Amino acid sequence: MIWDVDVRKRFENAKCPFTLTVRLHSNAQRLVLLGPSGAGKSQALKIIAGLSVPDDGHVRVAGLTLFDRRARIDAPPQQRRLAYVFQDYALFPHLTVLQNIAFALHTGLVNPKRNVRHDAVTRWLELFHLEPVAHQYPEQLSGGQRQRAALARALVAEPRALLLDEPFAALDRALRAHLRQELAELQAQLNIPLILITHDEEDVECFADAVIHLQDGRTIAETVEHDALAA
Amino acid sequence: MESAWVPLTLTLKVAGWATALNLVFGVAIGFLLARKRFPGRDLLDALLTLPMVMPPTVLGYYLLVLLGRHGPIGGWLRDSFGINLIFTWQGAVIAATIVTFPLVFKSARAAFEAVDPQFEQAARVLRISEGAVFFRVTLPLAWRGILAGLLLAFARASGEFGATLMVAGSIPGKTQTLSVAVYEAVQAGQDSIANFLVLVTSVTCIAVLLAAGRLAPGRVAGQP
Repeated sequence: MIWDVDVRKRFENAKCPFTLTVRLHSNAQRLVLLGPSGAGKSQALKIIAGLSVPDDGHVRVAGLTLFDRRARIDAPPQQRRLAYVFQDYALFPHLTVLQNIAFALHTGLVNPKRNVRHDAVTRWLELFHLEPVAHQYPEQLSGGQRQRAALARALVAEPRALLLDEPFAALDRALRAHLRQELAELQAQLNIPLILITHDEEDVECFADAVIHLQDGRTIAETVEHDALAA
Repeated sequence: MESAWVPLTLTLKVAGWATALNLVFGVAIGFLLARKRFPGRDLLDALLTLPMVMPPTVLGYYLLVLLGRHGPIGGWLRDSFGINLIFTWQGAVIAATIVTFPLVFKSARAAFEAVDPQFEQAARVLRISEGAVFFRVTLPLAWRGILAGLLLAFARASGEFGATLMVAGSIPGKTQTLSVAVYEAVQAGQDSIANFLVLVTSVTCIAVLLAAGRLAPGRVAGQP
């Protein structure tokens, strides 16, 4: 089982207390979590990444237990080796594209230098056509370049799985179709499982091996889009 | 005018040390208040803000009581290390540090609160340790706001009068800072010295304020 998640978390919001219940049991390489905004999709992804602690349940990815309330396991995000691409990409604004991508390769207290060189970074810069903007800052990039830079930064760390929070929402329509294609090809090439969360049905049609619906804080239905689960 | 340089360098020394101490403690407390939730957080903030609203002489009196040779801290320092802080320039540093502490920790807190936690989360997922997240992401993004606070603190520390006079006195060449020297010069009717000292002080303060204005939060790069 690639994705085995069963968690609950209660949010004590003054206006409307809210309980998030997420159950994912899937072998899909490309799992899409679909739901309207406010359904708790981002929170679900943060729980898997270890950025938010659930009240109860377990999180297992590709056979590894990352969180288990009963067994008192709670791996910090640093040890989970999951890549996370944030909705607005969260590229570090004080670092150049090159420094952003090299970020995870330096574990000490100082950031990579502006002229840092790593083979892995060079490879990703080339693959994503980011060499011309390598020395620019994130605010100088276009939407598509930002998304590619965020992906490169996440993939350089050689993650076990990829978590994507609305990766296409910030892009215009034409670019969205193009980058969807690009991401699908990349996933097939790297053979790395990924979860993508979205409110856009089109993402499901173009992308999903399997889709799980999330509404009002509950995962409600699982439909198999392609035949990935049959295998 | 020769004698004017002595209080000026002493003032810069005292203000510099006070700013350096506040860089460490003000930034640490500002970060604590911005990012950690603990009982008594608001009370701690209020207590640490007191030096901003209390008369400097009252603060100076508190410090005299605490640091004096019979005070709890002063007595301990004298018995254990043979250190006396009253009527020394180090005493003036402590007075200036306490008076300017709220300026630093308040701006540090605001600067840290303005950093989007998402950047820190992104760093954690990239397997960067908590300490490194602070030095590589949080601090660089909050730095300009903190620096503006430090410059204000430096300016305020250079002009500190009340608490400094209470704790360090007015010993020419030893603890007599610019603002105290101005007072003494006027009292002694040395108008030309007073004029010069006032001019030097004003120019220093304007320079610092201009620098602080350029670094004010809101111009911080990349913050939404």
